[in-house]
Amino acid sequence: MKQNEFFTSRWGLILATLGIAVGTGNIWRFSRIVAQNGGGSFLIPWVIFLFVWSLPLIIAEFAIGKYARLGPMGAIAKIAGKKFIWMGGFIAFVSTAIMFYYSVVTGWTIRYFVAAVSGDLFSTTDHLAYWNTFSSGLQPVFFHLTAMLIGTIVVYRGIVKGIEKTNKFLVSTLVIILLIILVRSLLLPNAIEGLKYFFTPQMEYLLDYKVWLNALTQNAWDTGAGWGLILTYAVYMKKSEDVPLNAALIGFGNNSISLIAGIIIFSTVFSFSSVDAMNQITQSGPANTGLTFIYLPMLFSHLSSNVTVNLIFASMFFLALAFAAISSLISLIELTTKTFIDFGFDRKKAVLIVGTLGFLLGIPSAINVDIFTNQDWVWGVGLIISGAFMAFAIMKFGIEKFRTDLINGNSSDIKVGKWYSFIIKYLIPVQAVILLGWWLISSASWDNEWWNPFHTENAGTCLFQWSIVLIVLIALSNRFKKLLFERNE
Amino acid sequence: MNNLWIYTMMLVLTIVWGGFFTALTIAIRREKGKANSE
Repeated sequence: MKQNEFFTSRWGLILATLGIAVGTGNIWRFSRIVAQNGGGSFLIPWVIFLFVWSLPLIIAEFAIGKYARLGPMGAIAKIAGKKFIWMGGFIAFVSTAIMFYYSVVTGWTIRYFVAAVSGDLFSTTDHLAYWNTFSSGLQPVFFHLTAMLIGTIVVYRGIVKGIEKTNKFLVSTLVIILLIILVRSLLLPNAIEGLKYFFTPQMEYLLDYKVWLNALTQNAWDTGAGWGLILTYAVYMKKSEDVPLNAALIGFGNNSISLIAGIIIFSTVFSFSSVDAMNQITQSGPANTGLTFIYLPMLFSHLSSNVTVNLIFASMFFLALAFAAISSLISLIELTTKTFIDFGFDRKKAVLIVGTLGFLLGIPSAINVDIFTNQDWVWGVGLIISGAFMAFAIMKFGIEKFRTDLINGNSSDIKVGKWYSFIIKYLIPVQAVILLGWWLISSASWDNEWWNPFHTENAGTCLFQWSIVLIVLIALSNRFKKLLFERNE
Repeated sequence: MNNLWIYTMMLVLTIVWGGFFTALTIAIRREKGKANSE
């Protein structure tokens, strides 16, 4: 199948890819994890893992997508060999499963933006009750449908008119909004205490291995590295387009936005109460939503004595959050759509199937927080396997050949040295094994029946669901090979 | 030790924001170069 649609410019590609990386994880998860892991002590390993996990995998995704011109399934088969098509299938499945519940999260952000604009958000002082009333009803299903509809329409319109045009607007607006809120939050009284906490390293935390593992996890989850999403957008980059410099822009750009979000949240939280702040900010709340949907609305309501000003800032914050979520949801929908396209479906038919499936299969997560938490756990940890599969594919292709031909080709603006081969060959597999082992083993500390596949968050449910997917993919791999490569060769 | 947070902030922001703006500057120069050569 000939590739006939491309991002019109480098900036279109970069803004779209930044849209993948910048999501709700940069805003709500990053600040909570920083608070739980000793503030500045967390930032040091977090920066280190940007270089040894995120950047190498973002470079890999750009290079694989540009070379293979196929979605994750076909691309991994083309790089690693056709018999490993099931590995690409696993990468595509994990991101598709994430799409089902990420659309629910996107729906929550849209709902809170609407509530802030209408003033309804400040109609109460009990924001926990407000969240519980919203999340226990059927509203999350309606807003999940709204999110899926927005994402589906964008992907339906294609790469240039849909994905590129929309992301240019979403990402640039998101950055402008965050910068405005950044200035406001830094002008709040006592904001400097938040900055001090955010950046002060504490030695006891720095020596704790859990802080390092959390820093690696945050890099694996919030940069989008190893998910197959950047690979999918790279399919539509022009042949003359560079790989390593674009990857650097995405990795550094994503983490820059995390830092802006962190400064905003810590300055705001500490400007009101540093004692209460630490208790509140480290509370996960239902489905890890405590900080964003319960504590921040309360803070925004006290930002100034003028309710209108408070509503404007709350609206801007939730608009930024919704834009971050929508831009990531679009890429998740595109990944699944591209997989269908590779199997011979026309884009419009494929996106309608994906949109319908995404809505239907996301409903359980929209109405039941335990299902949501289970899916977030199983496929969140599954992403580490996706990253490892990508490194494995490069090893099968030949790491040096991959580096010299696919990364450092004629079109590359900067060259990647031999350090890259070392990271892919040794550091990525070691990090993946340690991280996977740590998460699965530590689940026994909060669940005595760690083996029980029907519990929400433990090793058993992960191994059970991953096994089903892997068995089905391996069993069907011959059929997939035939269907995919007969069309694309 | 009281100013440790300032040094950490400078280090982190220099690496992350510095990395982003350096990459952006190189990309802008390359794009301008390409436009001029066409």
